Order: sequence, then structure tokens, then C-alpha cells
Amino acid sequence: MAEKLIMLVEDNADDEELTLRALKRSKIANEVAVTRDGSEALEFIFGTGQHEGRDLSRMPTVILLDLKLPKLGGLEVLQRLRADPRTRLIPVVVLTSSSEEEDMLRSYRLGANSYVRKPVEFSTFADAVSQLGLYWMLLNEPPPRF
Amino acid sequence: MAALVYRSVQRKLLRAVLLSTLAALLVAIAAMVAYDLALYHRSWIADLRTQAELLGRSSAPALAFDDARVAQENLNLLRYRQQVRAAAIYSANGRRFASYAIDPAQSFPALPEPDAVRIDGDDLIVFSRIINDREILGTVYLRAEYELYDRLFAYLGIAALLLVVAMAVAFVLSRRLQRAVMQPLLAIANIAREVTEKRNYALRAQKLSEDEIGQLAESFNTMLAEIGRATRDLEASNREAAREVSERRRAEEEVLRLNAELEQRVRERTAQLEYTNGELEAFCYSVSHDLRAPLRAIDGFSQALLEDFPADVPEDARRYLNRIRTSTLRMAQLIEDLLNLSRVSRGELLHQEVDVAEIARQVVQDLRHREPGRNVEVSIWDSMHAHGDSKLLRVALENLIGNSWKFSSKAEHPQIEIGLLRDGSKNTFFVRDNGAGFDMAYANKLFGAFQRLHSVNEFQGTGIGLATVQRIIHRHGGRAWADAKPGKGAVFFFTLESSAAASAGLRVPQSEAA
Amino acid sequence: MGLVIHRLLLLLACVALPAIALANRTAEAQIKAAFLYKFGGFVEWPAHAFERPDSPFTIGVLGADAVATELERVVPGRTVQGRPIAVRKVKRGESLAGLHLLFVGVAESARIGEMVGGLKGQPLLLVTESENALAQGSMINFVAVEDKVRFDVALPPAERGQLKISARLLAVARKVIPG
Repeated sequence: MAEKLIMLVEDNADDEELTLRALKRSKIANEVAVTRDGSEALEFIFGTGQHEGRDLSRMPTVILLDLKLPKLGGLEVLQRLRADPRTRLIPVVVLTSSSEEEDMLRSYRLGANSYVRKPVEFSTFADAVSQLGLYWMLLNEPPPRF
Repeated sequence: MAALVYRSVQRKLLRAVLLSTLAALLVAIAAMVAYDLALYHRSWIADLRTQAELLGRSSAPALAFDDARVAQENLNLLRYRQQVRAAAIYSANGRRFASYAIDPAQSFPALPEPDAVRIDGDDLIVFSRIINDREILGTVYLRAEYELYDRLFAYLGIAALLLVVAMAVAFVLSRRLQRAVMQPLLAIANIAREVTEKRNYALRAQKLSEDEIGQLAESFNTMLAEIGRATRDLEASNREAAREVSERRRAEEEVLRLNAELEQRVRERTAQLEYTNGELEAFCYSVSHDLRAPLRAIDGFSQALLEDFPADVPEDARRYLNRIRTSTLRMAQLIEDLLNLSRVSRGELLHQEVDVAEIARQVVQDLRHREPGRNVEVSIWDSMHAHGDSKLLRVALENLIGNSWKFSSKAEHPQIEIGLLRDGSKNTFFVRDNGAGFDMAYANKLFGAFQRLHSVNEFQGTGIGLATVQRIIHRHGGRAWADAKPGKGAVFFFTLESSAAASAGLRVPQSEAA
Repeated sequence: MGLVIHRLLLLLACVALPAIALANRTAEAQIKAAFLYKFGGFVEWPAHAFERPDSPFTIGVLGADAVATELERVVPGRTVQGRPIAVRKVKRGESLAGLHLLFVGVAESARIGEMVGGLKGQPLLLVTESENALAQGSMINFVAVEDKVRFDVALPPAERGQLKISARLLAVARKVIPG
């Protein structure tokens, strides 16, 4: 069985590094695929564009999705993911610094599985990431692949 | 129309004249006839009586001396009075002494009567006693023609003829004379008709006679002048009114136009405002997001430094990094508070039934969860309800209760009380603590943004919280104020509409307190 | 039989006639008496003939008892020209003063002339019933005309006595001797 894959869609390099660090410190050693904007994210998922030829049998176990993304926004990506039967069931955790209720509502409406706010304080943030990772990678039963 | 008037009035006049003539004639004739007949009656009777007396006197000797011949001779003289049909002299003992009659077959009364005058059919009968020296010698009897009825019929005949002739004369005369009356009247009627038909009030009737009709003509003319003037005045005022109406209409149109313009401007302004609002919203959104991200990096990498290179980081460096982190977190809080403050001003105010007690409980729970170590005694009154936006009210309570939580940290037995003072339509809520309190002298600065009455070293805080609370309460149409004693604690009051007042129809005014 | 009736009738006549004659005589007296006072109404006496306004009208009767009796019977209550009537039976030779009317019966007809002479202008109406009395100076004289009492009037003696006889009386007189 292929190793479980975490996909991180994040445009901010700092946040990216901090997230990866947090995951490492939580002893979550899974591979993390990072995409920097919405369109790249889709390219990666569906094996198009710069990620042409990716092995599509290896879908991420969980997608950590930021909303504020250049090119295609996070909600758009979510929408696309949920529209395609190949990716409809993949758990998506919206990880964003936005505290707007509107974003939360729309995320859930569009089919996000979880909505987590990125706190400024790092330790809190690291905690959150760690919990997320542990939960989604270990505790949660991912949907069967088809 | 005028011709009809002419005829009917003329007929009336004619009728009047004829009737009055007839009446006058009848009265005159009747009077004269009556007088004449009465006179005839009286005079004839007097005549006959006299005749009888004369006969009596002249026959007295004949009666006295029983000389019927003489008596007869006297009676025979009556021949010269053809009206006397018969006469007789009766002696004292009632015997017919002498008699005379035109008609030989004339009958005489058997016995004489005392003095009397009688009408017997066509005749008048007179009995007259002959008295000489207080002695009744005998009675004279006369029967004469009584022509009263004949006269009456004759008169009637004459009267009838007279009436006919007189009426004819009256008729002809009145027709002639009527003209004098009718002509002026007809003239006026014609003018009146013309005036009505042509609506020409400049016409005037001619004054053709110096009488009531002449006066009528004058009055008529005066009236026409009046009507003409009144009509002119009316037309003038009508024109005036029409002018006013069109002016008013123009003014109304002007008003409508201005109204439309105004509405247009309002719409534009609203659109602008909405646009601005939207932009503001987007701005805040991106600001919060974009401002936070770097802060996270600062804090994160500082922490990473501390964690990943524990041995390489000297104590001072560690301290510096911690201060970096602290400031970063402060800034994050500031951003949060500012975001809240701006959010309070924007957006619609929802009108909900808010369970204030429940919100307070949740806020306290959150605080306890964040600082489990603190032992604060909190009492929250039951059934506190209000009418307003639950999210905003939550923010307000978070600030107020959070403040009390914060400022009572130095107290020995920190106590916080959240309650409600009811007063009709207004509910006055309060959050009381026995913490640090503040000097009332600076009370007016309390709700100003970024105003702090304590240094950051004493109590952390951004100074925006109360400004936010005030803005929220103001948006709910309420009032917020505080009372405190340094070292004794503080009470923060705020008023909100009660549910009862809200359901009674009182609307929360949308006041934007800067 | 016829003869008996004839004789009876004759007997009747003998008895009746005087009665009739008596009756006639009484009637005649009555009539004459009536005439006498009636004459008073048709004659004018001069004013000095009466003393006072209410002095009676005095009728004297000479030589006619029947007439006097009748007069006396008939006169009460009657008036002549408003005066009461007095009747006086006059005897031969008596004075005639105070009389207004004197009736001389046929029995004293011889005295008529004498009477007339004695009058001497006294206003006295002299009435007689004798033939030729007027020629002797009587003023009114009764005559019998066809069983009726009539009279003749002579005006001159009346005039002499200052008496005015009414023309109406003259009208009923049989004969009038003008004055």
C-alpha cells in the first residue's frame, strides 16, 4: 500500500514552513505535497499541467486547504474537488486565518469536512496542526478508493 | 317665447278688464234696477194709497149721506187712470156701496179689510178706511196693476243688452289701450330672450314708458350691468384660478422632480455606501488575513528558534525572542479588536430574542477554559433576555466580562456579578466586579478608543474593548456607562430594549455612534 | 079659496102697513138724525160760534121728537170736528142762542120764516124738512127721493149766517141754490 499522502495548499512560505515543522514535531512522517496556489493544486490533484503524469491512484488522504490563494481561490478549488467523482470524498480541512463566518459557511456548504482557524500564536498553531494530522492520518478512516 | 308671453299676458289683461267691467256693470245695473224697482214699488203704493184716500175723502159725504150715485161718479173718474183696474167703496156695515171696474167680470172682495196693501198676482190691492170725525164711514178698495215684475224683466233685458254692448266696447278699448302696456313689456321680454340666447350682457332694454314697466326696464338694465360685471369678474377670477392651478401643478411637478432627483441621489449614495461598505468589508477581510500571516511567521519562527536550537540560544537571546513573541501576540490581539470594532459598525443589526444569561455563561466558560487556574466567583442572574443582535451582544459581553475577569485578577476573592435591573421598557444590565476599579475622574475617557486608564504592565489590553462595547450598545439604541472606586471594583451598565417593548412595536433606532 | 087669500092679504096689509109705516118713520128719523150731526162735519162755523175749544156742538131740535130721540141716542161718543155733541129739545119761543144747528120739524114748519128773521146773522145752520123751506130762508132741507132721504142746500142764507158749506156736501145735495 502506498504511503498516505497529505496535501497542503498554502501560498505563504512562512506558514508552509511552520506547518511542515509542526507536522514533523508531531511525528507525522507522511509525505506532504505542497502546492502554492489554487490552479497548481488542481493540476496536482488531477495530474494536469506541471504535474502531468502523476500517479492519480495516489490521492491525498487529507487536504489542508488555505482559502486565500492566488490564481484560483480556496473555495473554488474546493468546489472543483467536490465536483469531480474522483475527489469528491477526499477529506478537506480548511485551514485559514480568516475568521469571517461567511467563509466558514461557504466552506461547509461547498463540502469541507473541517474548518480550522490558524492562530497567530505559534504554539497554538502547532498544536492544531498536530491534532489535525493525528486525527486525519491515524484516527479517521479515509473513504475507500474507487 | 316672447310671442307666447305677449298673448298670455294680454289675455290676462283682457280678462281682467272684461271681468272688472262686467262686475262693475252688474253692480251698477243691479243697484239701479233695485233702487228703481223699490222706488216704483213705494211710489206706486203711495200713489194708490193717496188715490184711495182721495177717493175716500171725496166719497165721505156720499157715504155719510148715502148717496151711492155720487160715490159711483167719483169712482168712475178712475177711468182716467187706466192702471186702476177696479175700485169699490164699502159702507160702514161692509156692504159694497159703489164699484168700478175696467173688466165687467171683475170680482170684488165680499168684505172690506182694514187698512192694507197686498200684492195679488199681477195686481196691487189697497184697502183704505174712510174716517171722518173719528167715525169709520166706510172702506175704499182699489185694485191696480202691479208692474214690478214686468219692469224687472224689462230691466233684465236691457241689462243683458247693455252688458253685451258694454263688454264689446270694453273689449275693443282694452285691446287698444293694452298696447300701451304691452309694448314696453314685450320689448323687455325680447331683450331678455336675446341676452339669454346670445349670452351678451352688453345689451340693454329700452325704457319706453314712465311707469312700473319703465322701472322694470331700468332695474333689468342695472341687473344686466351687474351680471355683466360679475361675469367679467368671474371670468377674471377663473383665469386667475386656472393660472394658480397651473402654477401649483408646475410646483408639484417641480417637487416630484426634486423628489425623484433626491431619491436618485439617495440611491446613488446608498449604492456608493454599499460599494464602500463592500470595499471596506473586503479591505478588513484581507487586512486581517494579510496582517495576521506575517505575525504568525514572526511568532512561529521565534518559537522554532527557541525549540530547535535550545543550546544555541543564550538567555538574553531567549528573553529577546520572548519579547518579540509577546509583542507579536499583542499586535494580533489589536488586529482582532480592530476587526471586531469595524465589524460592529458594518453589517445589519439582527433583531433576535437574545438570552443574555446564556451568552454570559458561555463567555465565562470560555474564560475559565482559557485560564483554568483562576478561581473567580461568578454569579449570573436568571432569565435575562433582551432584543438585539446576539453575535454583537456576545462580543459586548466578552469585552465586559473579559475586562472584569482581567481587572479582578489582583483581588483576593475575585467576584463578578452579571445582572439586570428592570424598568418598564428599558432593561439595565450590569457587570460588576470587585477588582481594581478606576478613578471616576477619568470616566469620560473610558469608552474612547485606545484609551487606557491602566498601564500595560498592570493589565494588558488594547483599550479598544470598551469602544467596541459602546458602539454595539449604541447601535442597539441603548446607553453604556460605568461607576467605580479605585481599588473597590467597577460596575459597567448598559441598557437594552426588553423583548416586551420590542414586540410592542418599538423599533431599535440605528444610531451610529462614532 | 082665492078670495080668502085675497082678504087675508088685505088684512095683513092693513096690519102691516101701519107697522111698516111706523118702521119707515123710525128709520127716517134715524137717517135724518144721522144726517144732522154729519152735516156738522161739512160746514164751517166762524170762530166766535164756540166759546172754548172744547165747547160742544149743540144741535137743537124743534118740533121733531122722534128725531130728537134718535139724536140723543146716537150722539154720545160721536164728535163733530172734534167737539162733543149736545142735543137740545127746543120749545116754541125759546132762545136759539148757543145753538149751532137747528132742526125744525115739519110740525113747526110755519115758524120757519119767523126763525129766519130772528137769526140776525147768528151762525146757525138751519135744517128743515118742509116744502119751500129754502124759499123761506132755510139752509138745508130734507126731501124724500125714491124712498131715500135726500136734501137740498141754499147757500145765500148760509152765507148770511157766516157759514161755509163744503162743496163736498153740495156734491151729494140734490139741489143747490147758489149764493
